[in-house]
Amino acid sequence: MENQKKIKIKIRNLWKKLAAKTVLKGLDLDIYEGESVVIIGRSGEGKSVLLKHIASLLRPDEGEIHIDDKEITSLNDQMLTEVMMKIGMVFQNAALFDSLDVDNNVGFFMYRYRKDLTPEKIREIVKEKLALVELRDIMHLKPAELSGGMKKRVGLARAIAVEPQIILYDEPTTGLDPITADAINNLIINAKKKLNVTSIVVTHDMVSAYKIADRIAMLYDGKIIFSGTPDEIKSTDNPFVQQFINGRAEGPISA
Amino acid sequence: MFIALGTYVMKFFNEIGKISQLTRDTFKWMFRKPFDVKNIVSQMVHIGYNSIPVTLITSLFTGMVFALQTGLSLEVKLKGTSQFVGGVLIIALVRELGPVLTALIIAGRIGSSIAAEIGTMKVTEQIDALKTLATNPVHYLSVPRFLALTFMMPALVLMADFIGWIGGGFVSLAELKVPLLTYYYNSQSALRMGDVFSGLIKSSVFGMIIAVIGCHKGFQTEGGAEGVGKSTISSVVTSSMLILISDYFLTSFLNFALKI
Ligand SMILES: Nc1ncnc2c1ncn2[C@@H]1O[C@H](COP(=O)(O)OP(=O)(O)O)[C@@H](O)[C@H]1O
Ligand SMILES: [Mg+2]
Repeated sequence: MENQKKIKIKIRNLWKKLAAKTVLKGLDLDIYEGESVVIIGRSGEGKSVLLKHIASLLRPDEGEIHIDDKEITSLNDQMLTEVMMKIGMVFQNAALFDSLDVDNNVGFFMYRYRKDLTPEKIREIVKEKLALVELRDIMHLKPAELSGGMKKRVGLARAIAVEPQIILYDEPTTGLDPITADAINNLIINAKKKLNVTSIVVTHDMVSAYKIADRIAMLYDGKIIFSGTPDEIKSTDNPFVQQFINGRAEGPISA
Repeated sequence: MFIALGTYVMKFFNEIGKISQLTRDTFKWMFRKPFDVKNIVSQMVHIGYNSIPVTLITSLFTGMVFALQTGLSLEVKLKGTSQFVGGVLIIALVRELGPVLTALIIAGRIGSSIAAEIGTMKVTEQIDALKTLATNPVHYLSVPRFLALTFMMPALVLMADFIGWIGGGFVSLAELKVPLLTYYYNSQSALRMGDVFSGLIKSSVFGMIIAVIGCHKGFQTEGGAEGVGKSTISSVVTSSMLILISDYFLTSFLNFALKI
């Protein structure tokens, strides 16, 4: 089934050494258009580093990343901007701009670059985006005045405000209570349905993973060691995957 | 031993390379659209306007103590020479004390806050977030701070010079019994346009140093809140050192260039 679909992101033989540690060791991964892929793996395994490569925030030591058949790791800054506009990123701790209110956070790109839009029009669009993440009447609050769940929503609103084709989520539910976490899961599913985006979600929250994912890929030792549907992953006999998804300290992965 | 020294030297040159790269990038992005007027103005207010009280208090007391010390020592050497205190004070203030003391105060107050703010943005991924919104961090963060400091420093220094001079005048009157008019005429005849220029150019350059070092330390921050603390301190230390070192070379260069 997947083979009929178009590949949106193709990663080949990705290597990255950070400080003294080789984090990515020849990673391969294909992501199809419109698909939601959840990447699971332990803390410190390199999930954020992988996302940052896709978002062009880091350059690999070796390997290739193709987005829509364009190799992005060798692009210069100017050509990169074009590619980056296709991607929205939701950061682990939201990474909202402290000095700006919610309105200016969500509308950051438009206020800065869309001189064809009036500020009133932009404010309207910002309201729309906030409504998509089920927030209202918070336009003039500063990030410091928001709860953790609200920050994540605003972060999502800021990412979708640039109308990306790809949204990258870094641990969207980590640190949230189960109810808020589930609300965020629903927003991710909604964003995919309403905006028709390709999503990559990094998490180690298996509840969230099963709910969101069309496909789950497991990162271990710098490579994707398994990739399959939630049902496939539950029934695999790969001991590494089994140990992780069942959360056991005993197994081939040392605790 | 040699290896340790070697890595130290390597680090030093690496740092210098990064600082010059940042300076170049700041100039490059300064002329690119969008010009963020709102941001530049708010930085000017933050950097300039809010620093007026501390700058003025520093220079007021510097002027006062300088008048007292100089006047008294002149008087000890030769009776009646304390009437020349105005000339000595204004030259010292305009050429050295105003620019250098103000720069050191601003390095402590503003340089540190720039490093802390940008450092916090770095460790909380706000810098990455800027990039994903097609915004170059140097363009958005360094340029407004650099411009604000370059233009606000001379303005602050002018105020500092003036207040220090006023303070000196009253101390001369009260402690040395030099009439205000004598103080005024003596200052006026001593001061030349070149002194003022030299002081203001130095102030601007010190402002650039504070901005570039603050931004550089901010962008280089790693490792959470602790890292932010380290960057903050090191921005103050580095920019203060650079201010004092460059002061010597700037002064000798400007003396030559302005023929004073
Ligand atoms: N900028 C960096 N400099 C040095 N090491 C880094 C950097 N970013 C990440 N690392 C290291 O890379 C590894 C993977 O980090 P990360 O991708 O954040 O893990 P996670 O899977 O929890 O998201 C960790 O060991 C981390 O310490
Ligand atoms: Mg992470």
